[in-house]
Amino acid sequence: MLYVYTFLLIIVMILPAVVIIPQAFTSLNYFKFPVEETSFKWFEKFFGNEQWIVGLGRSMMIAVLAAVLATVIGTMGALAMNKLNFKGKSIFMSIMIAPMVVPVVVVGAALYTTFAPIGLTNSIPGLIFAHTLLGIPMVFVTMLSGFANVNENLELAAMSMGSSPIGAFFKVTLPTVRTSLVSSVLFAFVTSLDEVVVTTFVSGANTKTLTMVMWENMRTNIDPTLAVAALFMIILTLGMYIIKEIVEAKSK
Amino acid sequence: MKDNKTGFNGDINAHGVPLAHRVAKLSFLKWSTVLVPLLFIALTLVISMVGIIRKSFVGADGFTLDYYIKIFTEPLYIKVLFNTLLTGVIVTAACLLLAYPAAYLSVRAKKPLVRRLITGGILVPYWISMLVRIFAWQIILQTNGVINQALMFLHITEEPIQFLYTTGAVCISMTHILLPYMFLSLQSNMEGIDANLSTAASVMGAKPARGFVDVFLPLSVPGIFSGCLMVFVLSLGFYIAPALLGGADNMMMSNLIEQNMNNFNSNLAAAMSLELLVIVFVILGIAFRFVGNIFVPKK
Amino acid sequence: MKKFRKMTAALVAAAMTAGLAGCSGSSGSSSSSSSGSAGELVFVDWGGTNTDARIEAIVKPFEEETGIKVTVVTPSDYAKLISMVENNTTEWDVMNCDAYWGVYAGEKGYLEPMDYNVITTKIDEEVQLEYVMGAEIYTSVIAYNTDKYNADTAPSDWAEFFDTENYPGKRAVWQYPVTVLEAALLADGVPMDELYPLDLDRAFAKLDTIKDSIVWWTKGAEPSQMLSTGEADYALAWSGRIATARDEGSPVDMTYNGGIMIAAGWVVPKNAPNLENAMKFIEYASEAKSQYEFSVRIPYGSTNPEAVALMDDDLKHELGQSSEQLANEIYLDNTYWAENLAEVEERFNAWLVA
Repeated sequence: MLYVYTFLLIIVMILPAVVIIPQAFTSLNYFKFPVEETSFKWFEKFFGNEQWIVGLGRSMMIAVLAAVLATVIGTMGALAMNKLNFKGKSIFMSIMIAPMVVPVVVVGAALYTTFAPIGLTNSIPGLIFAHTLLGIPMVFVTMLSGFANVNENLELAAMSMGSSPIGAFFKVTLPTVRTSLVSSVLFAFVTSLDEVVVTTFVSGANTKTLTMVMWENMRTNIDPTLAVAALFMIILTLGMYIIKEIVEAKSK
Repeated sequence: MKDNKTGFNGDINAHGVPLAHRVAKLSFLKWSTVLVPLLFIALTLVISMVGIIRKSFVGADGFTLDYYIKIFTEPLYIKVLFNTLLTGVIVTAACLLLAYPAAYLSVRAKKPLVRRLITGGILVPYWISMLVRIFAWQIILQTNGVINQALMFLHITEEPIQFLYTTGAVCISMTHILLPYMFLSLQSNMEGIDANLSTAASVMGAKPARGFVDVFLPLSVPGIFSGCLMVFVLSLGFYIAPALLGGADNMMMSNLIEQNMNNFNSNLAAAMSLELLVIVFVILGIAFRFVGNIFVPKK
Repeated sequence: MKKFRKMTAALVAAAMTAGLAGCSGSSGSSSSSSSGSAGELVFVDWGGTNTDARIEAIVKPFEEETGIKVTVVTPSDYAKLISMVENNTTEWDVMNCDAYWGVYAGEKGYLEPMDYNVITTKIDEEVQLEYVMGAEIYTSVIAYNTDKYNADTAPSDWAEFFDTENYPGKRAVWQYPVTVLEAALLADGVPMDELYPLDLDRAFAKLDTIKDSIVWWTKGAEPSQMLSTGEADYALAWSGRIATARDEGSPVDMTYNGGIMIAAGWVVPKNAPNLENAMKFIEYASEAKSQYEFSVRIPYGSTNPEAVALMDDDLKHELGQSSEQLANEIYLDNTYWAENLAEVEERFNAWLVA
């Protein structure tokens, strides 16, 4: 039963991908399923405009760095909530999730106010920090629920066997929350990839991400080049996933 | 309290380093987990936010509550707030109900392959840009789209059904976009639940169903909580899916906030933003009242 | 407060740039770096094919002729311009925006006035304004799906567009009051020269009559998709996008009859770093040759009558700028909208969700 249900859910989840990918090969200039006549003209358009490719690479780089930073910072915050006793925990928690609650256009304006005087607008580091900020709440929330189930006795046991507290953390605690950690990285990564409003505030001439390219086209012309971009995004991320699996398999 | 301390700087003196030195070093590390995140968010966001929030109380002629009076009395703002919250609740509930069984199965599956397939399947759409996914749903829900084609092929309906530009289309697409957050959140929490717990319960005579309700479910509350929190809060910020797939009724707070920012009325935008912030924190506070702050281990 | 902010800003700068100095090398900003002899210009546009055409038609020749180095930034963003001016950190010199928004921003004090000593080209007087110089025109027109309709069977004016009895089917309409209220009033029989100030009650009453058969669009690229896929039968759509889609083979067409012309305009943000160059650029972009070159590349109309004169009949017709077509089109009143946008938009939203 459960298997049937899960199978159906996965079908529905995959459906949009199944529908959109073939659009990359359509001969029409609007979206219609099924695709009747195939052509590669949207691939030509994608490769004909360097904005798309450069944007894709830039998006990936920013997303990876922002995800790493957000995961480190968000995990620290979750650890503090879980392990330390201090006054104002609820305020701390509120601040940690605030970047997710404040409407993005306001976050954008606020970040612009912070970044502009110090020259961080129109720069890649500025974008990375902005995306890090947006990723932190998700990492924080995810790691909190991860840490909630860590068995403290194990940590104590490790320490009684000579591990330093930090060693115990890395040897015992982190492996237990491994799944949470991976999820956190994913959340922060995708948040960065999809972000456009804050990005518009912080970015400039040389920092255009793929998502921004897509959005700019919304005003004038949406066409199946979008589907080509989606296809490459899937290929790239799948590729990263497969490499990770291979590396892990080899190291075992 | 005491346990807490041992968690980080218990009186271990096995390595010959002077205790006081070690404690000092550790407590610095310890407090850095509070300070680093706090500083990062404060420096980037909070300080600038203070100025923005201030605008919600200060108009052209000094202090005023006009902006708040407006958003709490004019039907437009009340209705849009209600829409936004309602959509959030529906989407959160849908995500939880849909994702929980799948997450449970993925954790309980004996074969790692099954687990990977489930996780992979649910995460496939996650890699596609949100904008593209919205267009995919347009293709699926169009009057001559995939679903209507299927329905008419099966002779379930003769006339195509209008799916697009309805609240239903908005909720379906938002659930689809946000479900991976719920799934991963549940899964990573369930992973931590000692798998033997339920087994132990059933060995001790409890029926599997009771084992699940009595043991597994309560332990998965932190995952449910963090998943719901993320999905609900993220849904409050949505506006492009409602704008592209919904009708006139599906206007969201974010639409109004952005419009007001563009119309030189950042005061009203600030008031609405603060309103959203307060609502989320109040909901959190109420939730903690009921279930306790489940993220912090009880001592 | 200010001092405090500066201090924290410095702190943030130190902490953050130190951490990431390594990876910023290849991507640093170009607008703030040292300038060449003729100077620089930061030009902001909406992006997409519009900007591609603009770079070829205007930006590159301008650079060649003046030696000014132009940095193209996309997309235009109103909220960001507001933030820049409020923070006194303006980094943009020229932005392309909707002319009515430009008038609005100018009156609010966010723009530099046009320097008509430098800008000597004369364009349509409706869009040659204190803070805004009209750039290109896009027209809200009646568009339709050509698989189902042709020029004879589709609505040919706004009265027919609002006639659900003789023209059943879904109408895609811009979810924004600008040009939509005008269309409603024209449909209700208000003569073109008596449109402004808009009779809002009458406009909303007319809109009420077709509210149930409207599907709303928010992004300019949507209507041609909606028409192509059959999601809508007719649309109030922007001419430029329909023309492009039609030329690319989508089953859509339009009539300019009753078209309401929206001008995009050039504006200069307050305290723009390269004010003089900005005015030079606007002058250059307004000249007949520049506007003509732009309209040849992408189907948007021209605000310069001399540019229109350069066009052949086919192009004029495609852009809705032949004299017969222009007789049945009207310019949006930018001043009216600048004064009433916030209020009318709020009322429009309230009407939408009611």
